[in-house]
Amino acid sequence: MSYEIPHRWIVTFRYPLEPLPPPKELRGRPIIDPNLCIGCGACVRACPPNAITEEIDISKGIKVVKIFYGRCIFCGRCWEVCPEGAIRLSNEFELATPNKDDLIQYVVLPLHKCVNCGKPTEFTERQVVRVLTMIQELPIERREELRSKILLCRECKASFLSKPMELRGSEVYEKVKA
Amino acid sequence: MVNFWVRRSEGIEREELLRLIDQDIAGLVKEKRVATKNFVVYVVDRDKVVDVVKKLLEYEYTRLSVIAGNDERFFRRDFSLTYIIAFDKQDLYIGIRTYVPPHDLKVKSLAKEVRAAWWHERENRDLYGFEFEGLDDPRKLVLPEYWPENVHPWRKDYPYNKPVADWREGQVDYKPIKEDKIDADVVAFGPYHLVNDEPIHWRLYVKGEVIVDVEHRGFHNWRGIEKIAEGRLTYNQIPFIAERICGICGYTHACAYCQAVESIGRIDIPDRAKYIRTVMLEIERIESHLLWIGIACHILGFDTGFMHSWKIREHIMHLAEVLTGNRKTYGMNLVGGVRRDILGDRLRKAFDYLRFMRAEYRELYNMLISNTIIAKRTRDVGILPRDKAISYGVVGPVARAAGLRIDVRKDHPYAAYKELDFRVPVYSESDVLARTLVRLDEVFESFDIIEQALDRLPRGPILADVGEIPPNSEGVGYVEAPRGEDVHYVRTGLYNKVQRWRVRAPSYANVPSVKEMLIGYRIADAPIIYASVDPCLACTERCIVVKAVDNGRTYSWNQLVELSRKISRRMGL
Amino acid sequence: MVIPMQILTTIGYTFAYAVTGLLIAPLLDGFRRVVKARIQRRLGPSILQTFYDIRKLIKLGALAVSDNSLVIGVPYMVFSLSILVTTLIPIPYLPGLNQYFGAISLVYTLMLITALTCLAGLMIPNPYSNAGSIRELLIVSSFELFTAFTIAELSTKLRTLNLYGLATSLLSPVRYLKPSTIILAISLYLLAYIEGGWTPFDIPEAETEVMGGPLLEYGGKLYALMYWSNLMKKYALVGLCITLTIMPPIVSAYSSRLPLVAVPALSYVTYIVFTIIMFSLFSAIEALNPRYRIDQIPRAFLALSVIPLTGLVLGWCGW
Repeated sequence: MSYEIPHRWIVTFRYPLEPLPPPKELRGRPIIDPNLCIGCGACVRACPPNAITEEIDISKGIKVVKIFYGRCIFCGRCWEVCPEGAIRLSNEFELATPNKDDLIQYVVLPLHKCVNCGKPTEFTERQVVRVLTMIQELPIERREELRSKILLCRECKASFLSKPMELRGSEVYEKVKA
Repeated sequence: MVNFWVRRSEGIEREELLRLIDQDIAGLVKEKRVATKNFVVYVVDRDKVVDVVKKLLEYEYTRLSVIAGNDERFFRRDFSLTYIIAFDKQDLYIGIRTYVPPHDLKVKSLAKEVRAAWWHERENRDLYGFEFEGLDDPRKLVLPEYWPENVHPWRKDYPYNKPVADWREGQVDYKPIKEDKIDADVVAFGPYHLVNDEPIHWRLYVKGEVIVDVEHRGFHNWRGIEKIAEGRLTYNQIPFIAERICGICGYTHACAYCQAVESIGRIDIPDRAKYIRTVMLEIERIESHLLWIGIACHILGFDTGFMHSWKIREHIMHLAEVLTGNRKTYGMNLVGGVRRDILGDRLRKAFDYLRFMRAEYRELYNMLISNTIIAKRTRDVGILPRDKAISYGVVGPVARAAGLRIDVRKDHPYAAYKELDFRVPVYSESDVLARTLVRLDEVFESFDIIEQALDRLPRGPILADVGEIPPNSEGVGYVEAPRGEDVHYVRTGLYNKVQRWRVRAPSYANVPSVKEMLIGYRIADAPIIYASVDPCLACTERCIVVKAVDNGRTYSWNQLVELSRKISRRMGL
Repeated sequence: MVIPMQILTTIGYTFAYAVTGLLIAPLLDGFRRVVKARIQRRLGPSILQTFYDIRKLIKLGALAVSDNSLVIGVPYMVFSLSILVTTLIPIPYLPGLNQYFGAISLVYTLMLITALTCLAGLMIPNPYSNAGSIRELLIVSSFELFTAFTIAELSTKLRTLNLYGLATSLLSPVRYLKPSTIILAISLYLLAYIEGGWTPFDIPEAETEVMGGPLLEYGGKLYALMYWSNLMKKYALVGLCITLTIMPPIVSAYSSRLPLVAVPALSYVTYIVFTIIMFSLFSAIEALNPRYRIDQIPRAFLALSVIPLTGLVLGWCGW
């Protein structure tokens, strides 16, 4: 039964015993689609109560985006700022639970490994793919230059960029092919 | 002595009035700053500030709205106090500022003559350590009794997340100031009482059933929400915490904050956003008034009125949910506009709902005003005389029931109120019945406003581009909340954060005046008199529960029973 | 030794009265809740809700602010006195203890209940419970006049004050439609409504003002007993009205046509049905009224006592 203008005498519902769906406009529990999330962290920065946090575990090579509904204020800012449309505001509002762990959603994303040294970088593989598709439109020289930067970790970038341009390009190509 | 409201000001334009004020206080002012289009700040020596404020309060339709302290040691090695006075007929806020050096924080007290200053001075004493000479109330206002004397949490060198030292050791009981001096019985009305939805302690001194004196101690919920905002939130995050100051009138806080920042940044929000804000503010007003009507009925033992009123309230909350995505705490505001548009389908639904609710509300209204017992219980009860009302600077329905024709929507038009047509109900009896009638009438006006606003909803964007907010500037935001004028004083700081945010909710102005209303009436009247100002302590105290800490004082069931028996034994049973 | 048959039936009937009182009082409260809920346009709780409440309270054990024996004893005393009161309702053809009690002693039993409640309320050092007890005493004392006039009217009308006698004397043909009889019936219902503490007059317990008054400091089982007693008192007063006003004409209509064995059972069923109807009616009236303030009460009662006084005068005059 859903809420409409009640033209009956009794207006209350047997609510917990029978379902009472909210209107479709409700900003309910935000759910991160793990298939779409690239781990950029836009939602982390926008979230007013710090309900969404991110953690990078270099040793395991993963990035964990964690949303804790116990802190969530259901404002939907994360949904607004997500560049990938990975966050969906569901219609769920009955979140009460005896177990606090039920209120946490984790999204685990593998970190990109530097093509040169093989160590994990601070950004995820999907971020890299995303940036690579973004730079498709650019002129080729610029694209190549960016590509060489994107695929490397910080240390390699620093040592690598000191080398001359031509050298860099060929080396990167070989690594990528491999 | 203050001669309140002796000089006529109605009909005088803003510029003319500012000229007059300049003449009045010519010799006393050191500096004049025009902060925003209707907020002017005068800097005054600290021994002159009381005289200047008193002089300004001689004009008609002025109120001492806020006394905002600030720790400006980072900018200029001084503390400052800003007395913000509202000129209601000129759409003007005047700030009288004085700088006080940190080693000598003495300022003359105003509270004896201007009762509106009473709570503000005590709050500034607690939070900044100002000393008000002549303030005869030694009790703390916002801080708990156990708080160490020389720690002032609002100072900038006190981090927002620092807990005070182990408070269990300094446990001190509250000491009422009048108990020994009065020969009367004590009835503790609160902190926990059935009609107090939020904790507040009124100590009623009674003879028989008649109240002879009253003492207030509140702020049990005070958590320092403003400090959190100053400490770690950015401009666009604060609207969400501002909205959570209060569960009933949260949107007015979000609006007032956003308007303050918009006035500082000289941001013109789009027309459509203005109209949407107006609609939401009025929806909130209806919702709040219906809540109040329900509670008032419940206090009078009339549960049917309570249920019927909340039934209509349920519809309006459903409408809010359809329009914004939430029943309460709409989350609609950002600096620069609103986040969600009202689209065609929802607009149609809104009109359907409004028509239905207006009919239902008409029924409720007729039921309530035709009930003789309600009239008997509320007429000539809890009278607040006009001069007291002016001195306490009451706002909203309490002021309008006392015959003071003030309403921020008319006097300081914001959002789209200038373009809409509505009436402000005013009564002069100043009793509980008058306050009830003001609220009952206002609901009809709100229905009108929403329908007009939805009808005229202009096209266009809903969110303006916000550039950089200039640092170290100040502004006030003001909204007519359901309970009266809600003022936010904002001073911007560095790194996209506010340096000082002072929230003065309407109940902060209204609740002190309950003291005057209670004296001379009966215990049976106390709940309805107290409720008649529609107290919202969440707003007043700006509370938010951040983290529950187990303080080692958790009692088990049996311990609790044993404790209560011990207390009765001590009391001679 | 042979116990006379009459004593056995008396004991049997008294037992039946007590069980009825104990069980029907919470059930009637369930009806009251449902009626109020329907008027307030909501579903309301189950009709057995009051039983659930009492069960929950009893589970909590005896809770009181003091281990003083009087404070703890009062709920038990009040409870047993309330059961006594329910056994005094004179249902025609069911002669129980009510054969030996008069209307005056019923009034005194009710007053004893009030007095005990107030005593406990005044002993407990809580301003609210004191205020509630004082209010209760004020109401009882200002209502005295009304009660006195009503009983006087009753006695002059029916020439007896024995409770069972009252009910049976009404069974013989009386001209019911005399003005004084109607006024008597009205006064009885007013008495039941006011003495039962229905809403405009529930000032001593007024939740939103004195938070339950004398009951404030009781919890768990002790509160359950007080609460249950209060319900039984309400029921007994309504039941008394039913037996003295509606029952006699109905019962006398069918009693002569039926075998003697069936009459008590039928009388009992009629009584229960009308009690439920009347209780629901009272609940409806309660739902439509806010509460009076304590200082408005004595004046209102003084004005109200004109009603039984008029009846008394009319009765003397033979109208």
